[in-house]
Amino acid sequence: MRLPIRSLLTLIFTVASVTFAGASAAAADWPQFQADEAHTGEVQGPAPPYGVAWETDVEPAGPGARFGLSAPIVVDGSVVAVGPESVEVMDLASGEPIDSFERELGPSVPAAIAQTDDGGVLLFTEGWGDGPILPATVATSGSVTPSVTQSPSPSPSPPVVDGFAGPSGLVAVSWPGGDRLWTFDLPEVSRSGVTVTGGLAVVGTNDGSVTAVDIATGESAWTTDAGRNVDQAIAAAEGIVVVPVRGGENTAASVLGLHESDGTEAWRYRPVNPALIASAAALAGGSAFMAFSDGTVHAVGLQDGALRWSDRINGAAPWAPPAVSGGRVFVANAAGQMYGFDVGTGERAWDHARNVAVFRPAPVVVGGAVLMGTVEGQIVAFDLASGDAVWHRDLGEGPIHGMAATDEAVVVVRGGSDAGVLSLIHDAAAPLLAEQSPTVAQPARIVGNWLLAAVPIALLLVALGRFLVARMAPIDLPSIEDAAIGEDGGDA
Amino acid sequence: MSKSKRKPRTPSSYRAPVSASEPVKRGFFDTLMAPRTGPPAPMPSIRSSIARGFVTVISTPAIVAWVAGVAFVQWVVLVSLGFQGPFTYMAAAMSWPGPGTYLDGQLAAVAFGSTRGSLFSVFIFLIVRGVVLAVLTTMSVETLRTGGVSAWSVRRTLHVLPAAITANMVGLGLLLVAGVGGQFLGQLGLGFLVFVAGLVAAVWLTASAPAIAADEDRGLAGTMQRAYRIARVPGSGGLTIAALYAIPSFAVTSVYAFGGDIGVNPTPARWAVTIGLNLIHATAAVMFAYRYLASAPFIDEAPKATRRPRR
Repeated sequence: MRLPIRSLLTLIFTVASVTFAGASAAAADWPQFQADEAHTGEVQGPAPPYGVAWETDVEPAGPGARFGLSAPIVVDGSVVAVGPESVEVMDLASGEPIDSFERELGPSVPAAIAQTDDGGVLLFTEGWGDGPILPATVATSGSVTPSVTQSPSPSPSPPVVDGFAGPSGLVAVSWPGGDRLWTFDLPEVSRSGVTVTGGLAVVGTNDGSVTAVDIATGESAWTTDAGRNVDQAIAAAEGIVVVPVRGGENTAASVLGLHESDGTEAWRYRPVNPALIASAAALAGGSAFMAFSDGTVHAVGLQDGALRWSDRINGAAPWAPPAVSGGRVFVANAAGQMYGFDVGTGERAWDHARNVAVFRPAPVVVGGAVLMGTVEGQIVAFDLASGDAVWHRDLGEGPIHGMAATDEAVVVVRGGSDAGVLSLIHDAAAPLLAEQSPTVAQPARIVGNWLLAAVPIALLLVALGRFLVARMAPIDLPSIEDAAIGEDGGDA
Repeated sequence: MSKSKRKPRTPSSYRAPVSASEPVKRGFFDTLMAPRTGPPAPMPSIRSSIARGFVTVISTPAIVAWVAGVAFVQWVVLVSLGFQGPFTYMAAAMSWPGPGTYLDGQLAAVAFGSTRGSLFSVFIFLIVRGVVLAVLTTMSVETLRTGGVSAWSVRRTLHVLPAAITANMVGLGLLLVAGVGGQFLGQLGLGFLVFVAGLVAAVWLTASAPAIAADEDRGLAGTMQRAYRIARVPGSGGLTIAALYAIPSFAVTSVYAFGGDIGVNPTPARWAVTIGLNLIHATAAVMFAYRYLASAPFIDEAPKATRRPRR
């Protein structure tokens, strides 16, 4: 019996989708950065086009307000985003503020929510050591670029809050409720956010240490020295914790694979061509996918750290991890170009250039599209199969800091002077687009546009040239008799 | 100018050197240290050189077509090889070794990254640039000599090609030296200046080489030696005109070419700007050829190396 080709393709696509859906299948909640501990960035949710369901001006206060809110997480109908000095909780349905937990000034990095036998636990880091260089007045411009510069000279340490005595700490509070359960001192400032895997909360710090804390007890499970700054999100799947390690003056960026059980090193991947920064990894199908600051994307084996494939992209993409869905890995570079690669072979399925800056937000796969947030406050949805832009919308002034999706809505955190949180829901009345990437060559357009420019320019210039030549003195070059011209029978 | 108005050509292709007496071999810095006595050759002024170069370019349909056509063909080839832009790189398709070499390096890095393919592609780009300049310079020389372009230019290009490619290699070498020197001096804030000086030096030293190859029957070594000698003529303004070309060219390349959008379907306006900027580069090429042709008969040949008598 012959199977129809279409049915066969559908079957293959379905199998691939299930296979590569990540360590934890797409869920309705988004309990940590990029949906799950594998950071696949995928969830079954509303498809484009979208309309804004609600928008709330949840603006962080204090001198660190300019750093804005972190990428959101969504659990039990609540949206959680970390601000410099507070953790904000909003209602997913209405956007109304529900709660706000105090937090010692620290980088705005994502929180995570874990479920234990005693209930939910909200985990976040706090503390900024010597602190960022804060402006005298709160910046009102659209820039929310988090400064990575420490004070050149030590300044008085921030006050100790609830037993947090070092430069920073990992905090656990009850969820819901917000009662502080425990605080774990960290040796340095943490920018990695919190990754929850197998009952552990894993964080990295600026001194290169990776710490796993037992969520139930608040005690250290293990600590490993990664060598240099660990300031990107840590991912975990199949018993391996994948840690991007920043490069330095004489050291290239690398990616470290640790055994989740005891923190011992399983492998360390160093690209052949050195780069300064490695992005957070997305894990799926037995591979880890990450981008480097030299404009390359790499896939390495999750168990052995061996290179599976790598490819070049137009520009660096070191700040946001890829997303993985349906047998494809999606990477957005800093110039706003989204790529779709085959997970297994690295073959580029499509790319779409928007030519607008993208900084922090990781791509999110939802409703048959991959979403990209830009520095200019725009969200663009690309069709997973073709790469065409099927929907885009300006959501106001300020860069997109992060996105999260559930089965009902896409939650977007925006920074800048018009900071806030928005919820996008499917809007059937909005137009669905099919914008092709400018990187798709259109031969007729290339030739036509060239002719439109070249022919008038040539005609005008030659006419002008002839006019000028007739009025200029003739060229009187010496030694014409001895010139080489004509030696082989020129047509003079 | 019609064919009938062209001056007759002699079968000889060799230009007899004009040397009244045996010239004195000089050191590299003699030209800088020598008293300013005015050029020994009737070198055209910078202003008239620019004017002559520009008018020659725009009055010669073959050169205008070559400039526009090269930009088009190069873009189509790059796109077919998978390059996605920025298109603005094409603004320097015709630029002279030095600024052009710098762009080739950047283009290779964008297209191939920090890989062996990148290093290999730099040489491919340099050879392509050599071909483009060889054709352009040969057409320039023929136009300046006869007032028009014929099939001779195509045939003569084969003779000019080695010199044009060598000029590009010299440009690459100087940029590498300037880059390494800039690394050492970078801590003093002089790295950028050293790099720009390398760009200027590349233009200065290679400006005459393709024109010499087009106009005279010399071997490659003799052509490059002659170009080096022409560059060092005191008071000729060669260094000034090289700087006047190289520095703005580098600035435009840095600001315009590297700031473009990704995309492979340029608009008519983008094409117009690209063709316009490349016509300016072509003007420089014709200008270099014109200055050489106007002054060459009055510039001494290099002295023959003499062996010291053995004691």
